[in-house]
Amino acid sequence: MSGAGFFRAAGLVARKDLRLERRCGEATLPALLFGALVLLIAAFALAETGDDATAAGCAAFWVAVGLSANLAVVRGWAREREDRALDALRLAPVPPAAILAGKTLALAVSLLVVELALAVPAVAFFRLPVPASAAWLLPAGLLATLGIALVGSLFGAMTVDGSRGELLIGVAVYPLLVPLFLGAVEVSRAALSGGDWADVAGWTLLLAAFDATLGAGALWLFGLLLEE
Amino acid sequence: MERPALPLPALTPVELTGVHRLFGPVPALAGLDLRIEAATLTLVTGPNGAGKSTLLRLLAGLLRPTSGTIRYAGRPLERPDAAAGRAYLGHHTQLYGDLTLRENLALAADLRRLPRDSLDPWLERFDLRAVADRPALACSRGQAQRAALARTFLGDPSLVLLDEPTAGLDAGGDRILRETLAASLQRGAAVVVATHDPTPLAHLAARTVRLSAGRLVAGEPAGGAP
Repeated sequence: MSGAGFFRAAGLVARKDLRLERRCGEATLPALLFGALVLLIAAFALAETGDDATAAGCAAFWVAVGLSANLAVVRGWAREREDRALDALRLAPVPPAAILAGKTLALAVSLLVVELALAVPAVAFFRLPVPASAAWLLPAGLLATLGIALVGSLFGAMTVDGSRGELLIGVAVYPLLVPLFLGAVEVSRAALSGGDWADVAGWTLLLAAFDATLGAGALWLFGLLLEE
Repeated sequence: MERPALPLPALTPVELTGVHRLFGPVPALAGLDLRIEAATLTLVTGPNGAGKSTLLRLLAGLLRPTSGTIRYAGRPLERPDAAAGRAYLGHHTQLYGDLTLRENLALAADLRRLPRDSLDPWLERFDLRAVADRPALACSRGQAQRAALARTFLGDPSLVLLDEPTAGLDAGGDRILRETLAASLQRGAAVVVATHDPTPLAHLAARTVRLSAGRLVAGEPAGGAP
């Protein structure tokens, strides 16, 4: 299959997931509510930490995103499990990697919506500054979101044929995402504290390398994960 | 309903040689040898746990044999786009409940690069026009099964694999299925149907094979080949 065919198939899968999500909001809404709750609880405990409030706020934001993502991943794959809809995708003449790419893209869009919505209470609860340098957060935020979506989609596929896969999300996904969350928190803290590109470049590049490495591995591995 | 024949990937004959499939330590198929010819309907019968569904999922490429080989027109089917001519419907309808029947079929058509206007004839053939824009969740089991069958036949596959396809169908659905199968056979497709009750499709079948405990215990011409 040509590259264009791959992207076309991935686009079709992503469009299907986003259509389902727009219609039902089953992944995004619970994730959003749960993330807001995490932020609220964290704000009660951590908001009055003086100079460290920015760091605490950034950490709380990404913890909220990470935990919310779990809900979005599980729900996104539950759709494939119900009535074995995934079989129909697997029977289509498209490479398994295109299915992963499509599901990753759709999940990333859902997570971006959740993140944008959570950013408002995070700024309010932790009184986070939003200087011009906050723009440095954009590339890192996109890369972190893509990484979470990629790993989540990869392991989410394992939830399709039974409940043990959901356990794996907790056991395997979060440890794998540690470097990504560290990078996201560090870039967020630096960007919101008035840092410049030099302060965020290292972590941003690390996030890019993380996504590239994991992406290549995931695209290769996904077909094997789907095999029964 | 006359439809122009599309170029089909040559997938037949399908040859299974010494196919074993284990689930953990449990053998579902134990050394199966079988040949499936073009333009024939093969009925696969047998009691629960005989390996019928496993056989169909193996032929569909959803499972891999633990050992043994499956060859389609003399070669293994590795490339996904080579599988375009293969269609399978199992015990589940494989529909997204919150998509309409039309959207479910459109997704399948798009993924197989079939024109969108190829949907309407199939919706019509399976008598689904009135409910085509209803979410699958809001359809009856029979309507969902008809939609799943319509999706299976989209693009005129050359290898059609159906597991208990009459489940949930009323008399009208049964008739449509038989007519559609007859048309597929006339086009040259190979059809394999796993069923507990071979009677409704017996007149179309060229052969009935019986599985027991993962082994072929009988395989005889059924007569009445199309």
